[in-house]
Amino acid sequence: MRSAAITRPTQRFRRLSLRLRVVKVPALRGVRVRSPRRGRGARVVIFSFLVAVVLLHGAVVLMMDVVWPRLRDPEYGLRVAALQQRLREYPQRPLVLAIGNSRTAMGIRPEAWEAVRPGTPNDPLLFNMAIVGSGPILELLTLRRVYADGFRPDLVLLEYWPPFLRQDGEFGEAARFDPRRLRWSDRATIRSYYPNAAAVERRMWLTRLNAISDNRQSLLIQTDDDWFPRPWRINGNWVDLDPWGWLPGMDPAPQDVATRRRLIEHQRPFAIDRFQGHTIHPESDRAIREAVALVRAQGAEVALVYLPESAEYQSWYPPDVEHAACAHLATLCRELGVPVINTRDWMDECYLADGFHLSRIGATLFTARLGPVMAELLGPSGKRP
Amino acid sequence: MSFALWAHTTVASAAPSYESEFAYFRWLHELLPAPFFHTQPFLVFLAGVLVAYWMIPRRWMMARIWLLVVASFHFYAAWSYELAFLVTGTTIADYLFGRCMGLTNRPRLRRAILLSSIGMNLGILCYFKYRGFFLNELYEALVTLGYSPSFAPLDPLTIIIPFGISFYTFEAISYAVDVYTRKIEPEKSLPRFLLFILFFPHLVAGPIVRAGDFLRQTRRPKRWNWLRVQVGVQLFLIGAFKKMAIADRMALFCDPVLSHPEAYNSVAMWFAVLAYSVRIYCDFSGYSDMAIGAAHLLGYKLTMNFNMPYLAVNVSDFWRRWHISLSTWLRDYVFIPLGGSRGSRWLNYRNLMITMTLGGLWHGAAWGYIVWGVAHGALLVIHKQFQFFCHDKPRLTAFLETALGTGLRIFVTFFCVSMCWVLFQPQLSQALVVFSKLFYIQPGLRLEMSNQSLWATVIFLLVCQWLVRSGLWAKISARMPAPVLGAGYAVCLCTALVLAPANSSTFIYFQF
Repeated sequence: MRSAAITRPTQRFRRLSLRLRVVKVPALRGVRVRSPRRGRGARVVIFSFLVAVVLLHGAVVLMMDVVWPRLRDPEYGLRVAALQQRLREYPQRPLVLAIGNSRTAMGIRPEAWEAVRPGTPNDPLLFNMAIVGSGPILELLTLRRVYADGFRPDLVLLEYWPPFLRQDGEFGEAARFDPRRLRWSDRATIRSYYPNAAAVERRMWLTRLNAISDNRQSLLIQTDDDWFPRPWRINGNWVDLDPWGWLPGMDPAPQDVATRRRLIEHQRPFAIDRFQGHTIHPESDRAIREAVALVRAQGAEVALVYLPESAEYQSWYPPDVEHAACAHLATLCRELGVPVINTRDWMDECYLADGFHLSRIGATLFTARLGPVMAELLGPSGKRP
Repeated sequence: MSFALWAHTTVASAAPSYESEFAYFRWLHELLPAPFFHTQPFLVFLAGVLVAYWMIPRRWMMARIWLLVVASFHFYAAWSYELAFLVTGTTIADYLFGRCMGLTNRPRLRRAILLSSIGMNLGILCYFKYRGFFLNELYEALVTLGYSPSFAPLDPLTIIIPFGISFYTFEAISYAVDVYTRKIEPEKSLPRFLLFILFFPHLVAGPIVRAGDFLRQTRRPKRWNWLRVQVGVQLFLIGAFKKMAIADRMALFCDPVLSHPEAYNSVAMWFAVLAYSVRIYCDFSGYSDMAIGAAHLLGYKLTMNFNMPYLAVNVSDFWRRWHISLSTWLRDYVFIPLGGSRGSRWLNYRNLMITMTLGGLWHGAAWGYIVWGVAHGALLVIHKQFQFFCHDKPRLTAFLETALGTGLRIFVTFFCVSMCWVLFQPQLSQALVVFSKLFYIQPGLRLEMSNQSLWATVIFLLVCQWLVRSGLWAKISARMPAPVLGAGYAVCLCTALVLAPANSSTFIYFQF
C-alpha cells in the first residue's frame, strides 16, 4: 500500500516539495513554487546545462584555436599582429625575421635600426619574432608557424646559443615551453623532436577538453592583469612588447655596476648548472639543419647569429664546452654554407644587464650595429646577393 | 599541498606523506589528491559514485548503502588510509556502544556506556587536535615558573589532524546522547551507522548531521528524481561559484595582508578585513552548499548550514544563520543541559559565555579561537542587555524596526562579526597588530591588487543576497524557461572556472 502511494507522481512531488520546503536554501525558492509538472522541466534544465557546458567549452576551443589563435600563445600571437601591421605600413621592404630566445627578444630592437637605416626603399624591414626560452627546436617550431601564417621573410636570423643546445632532462626545451601554448599544427615538430611527444600531445588534448579551467589564467590575464597580484602575472614575456616585437628587458644604467653585479650573481648558479655535463644534443643539431633547409626551401636567406655575452659570462664556459660549441658552429657553417654573424664580443659588459641579456640601451646600440650587417647579407636589391 | 596561503586562518598542521604506503593507497591518492569538492578529481569521483549508485536496482538498498560506505572510506583513504581506518574503527566502536546501551535498561550501566562513548570520542579529538596546544601551554607555564619540563614542546606543523574530526566527533556524541536519552533507538544496521558517520559529502566539514534525521533517510527507498537532481546541481554550482569565484579571489586580497599585518597600512588592513569576512562566508557556505548538493544527488538531504548570515540584524540572529548545524548542536548539547535561558539573567549569561567559549575551542586549539568564542559570547550578552534596555523604550524600538534602523542594525552586526574574524586565527599577537593598524592610522604597504574587483565582488554578493531576500529571485527563476535556466547554470560554472585563481585548493574549515 505504501509503495503504491509513493509511486503516484503527484504525491511524490508533493512530498519532495515539502521536504525541500524544510531546506530553506534561498536559491531553491524557485524550485519550491513549481508545480509537480516541473519534473520534466528539471530534466530539461539538467540536459540544457550539460549541453551548454559542452558548447561553452567548444566555443572557447574554437576561439583559441581558430578565431583568435593569439589567445593560445599571446607571446607569439601579439608579434604576429604587430608584424602584420608593419607589413601593411612597409609592403615593399624585404622582411628580416629574428628568431631566438630571450636574448634575441631583449637584444634586437628593430626600432633602433629604423632610426639609423639609410632610408632607401630596399632597406630591410627587421622584426623580432623571438620566443623566450627557445632553443633550436622551438626556433624551428616558430619558423614553421611563421610560414604557416603566410609570412615570407627574405632573411631569417636564427640565434645560435650553446647553453640551449642541451636537450637532456630539465634542460630540454620541452620543459621550458608550456604545452597549453601549442597549436595543432605544432604536432609535427613535437612528434619529430620531443622525447615525450605522446605525453605532450595528451596534454594538448586535455587542455582542449578542459579548455576553460586549464587556460583560465592566460585568458584572464589577457583580459585584465589587475585580476592577479604581481607575482602571479604570467604576462611578463609579452605585456611590454613594442610594435616591432622587441621585449624591453632589464634596464640597469651602464654606470650602475652594483645592480649588474647583483643580476650576474643571480645568474651564476644557473649558468654553472647548465654547463655541468653539457653536450650538444643531436636533436638540436638536427633542428638547426632542418630550420636552415626550411628557409632555403622557401627561397630565402638564413644566417646564424651569436649574440653578445660579457667576458665574465664567457669565462663560465668550461673549456670543453667552449671548444665543442666552436667546433659545432664551424661544422654547421662549413656543411650548410650558412653565414654566421658572431657578435659575441661586440658589446661592452656595461650594456649586458646580467652578462648575457642586453640592457635596453645595449639593445639599441647593438641593433644599430647589426642592421648594416644584415642589409649587407641581403644585398642592395633586398634579395639574396 | 600548499598551506602557506591560509596558515594564518587555521591551525597549522601537517599533510600526511605518501612515501611508504601500500601501492593501492598511493594510486588512490594520485587519483584523488585532495578531499575538496571543487577539484576536478573529486568531480570525476562523484560522477563515478553517482553512476554506480543509481545503476544498482532500487530493491538492493543495502548494496547502495555499502557502495556509499566503501566510496566514503576510499574518499578518506585517498588522503590518509591510516586515519581512514581510525575513523572507521571509532565509528564501529560508537555503533557497539549504542547497541550495548540499547540492550540494557540499567541507568548506571547506560550512563557508564554513554560516558565511555563520549570519553573515547573526546579523547581522540583531544589527542589529535588539542594535545599540541595543551602540552605547549603547559611547557610554557612550567618554564615561566622556573621548572625545566622533561618533555619538549610539540611543533604544530608535525601533528597530522584527521580532517573533519570535530564534525564527526560531534555527530557521534549526539548519537550517543540521543540513544541515552531515548530520543532515538540504537541503530541495528552497521552499514547504515557507518554511512551516518562516513558519508563523504558531510565528512570533511559538515554540516553536522543528527542521527535521527540521517538514519531515517537511509531506510527510505531512493528513486531517481529529476527535480532532486536539479536541486543538487544548482546547490553544487552555487557552492562552487562561492568558493572558486569569490572566496578564493578574496583570499588574494586578505591573505598577504593578514599574514604580515605589520607591513601594510591601515587602509589595506580595512580592505583585508572586509575581504576576509566575505571570504570565510563564501568559503564555508560554498562548501556546505556543495556538500548538500552532492548529498541531494545521492538522494539524501543534509541540514541547511547558512542562511544569509551577514544580513542578520543582531548577533543572536547571526548565530541562527551562521553554521546552523553547529550552533544548534551547541544549543542542544551544551547550552540547554547547562540550564539554557532558564534561571536568572546572570545564569543565562554564564551559560552563553561557556557555550560560545567551547564553540571557539571547537574551531581550533589556539588562544585566538578561544578569544573569538569569548568575544562572541560577550556580544550575545551585550545584545541581551540591549534588549532589556530597549524593553521600555518604544520609540527606540520603533526606530530600530524601520528600514533605516534595520540597515543600521545589519551594519553594526556585520561590523562586530568582522572585528571578531580578526581574532579567528591561531596567533593572537597577529590579531593585536591588525587591531592596532585598524584603529590607529599607520603607514605601510598598499594592497597589491586594485581594489576594484574587491568592490565588484562585494556589490555582486550584496545584490545576490538582496535578490534572494526580497523574493525576486524566486519569481524570476520560477518563470525562467528551463533551457535558459540550464544555460544559466552552465554560465555560472564556467564563470567560476575562469575566475578561480590558479592555486586554490583548500577550505578554511578543512581540519577543524
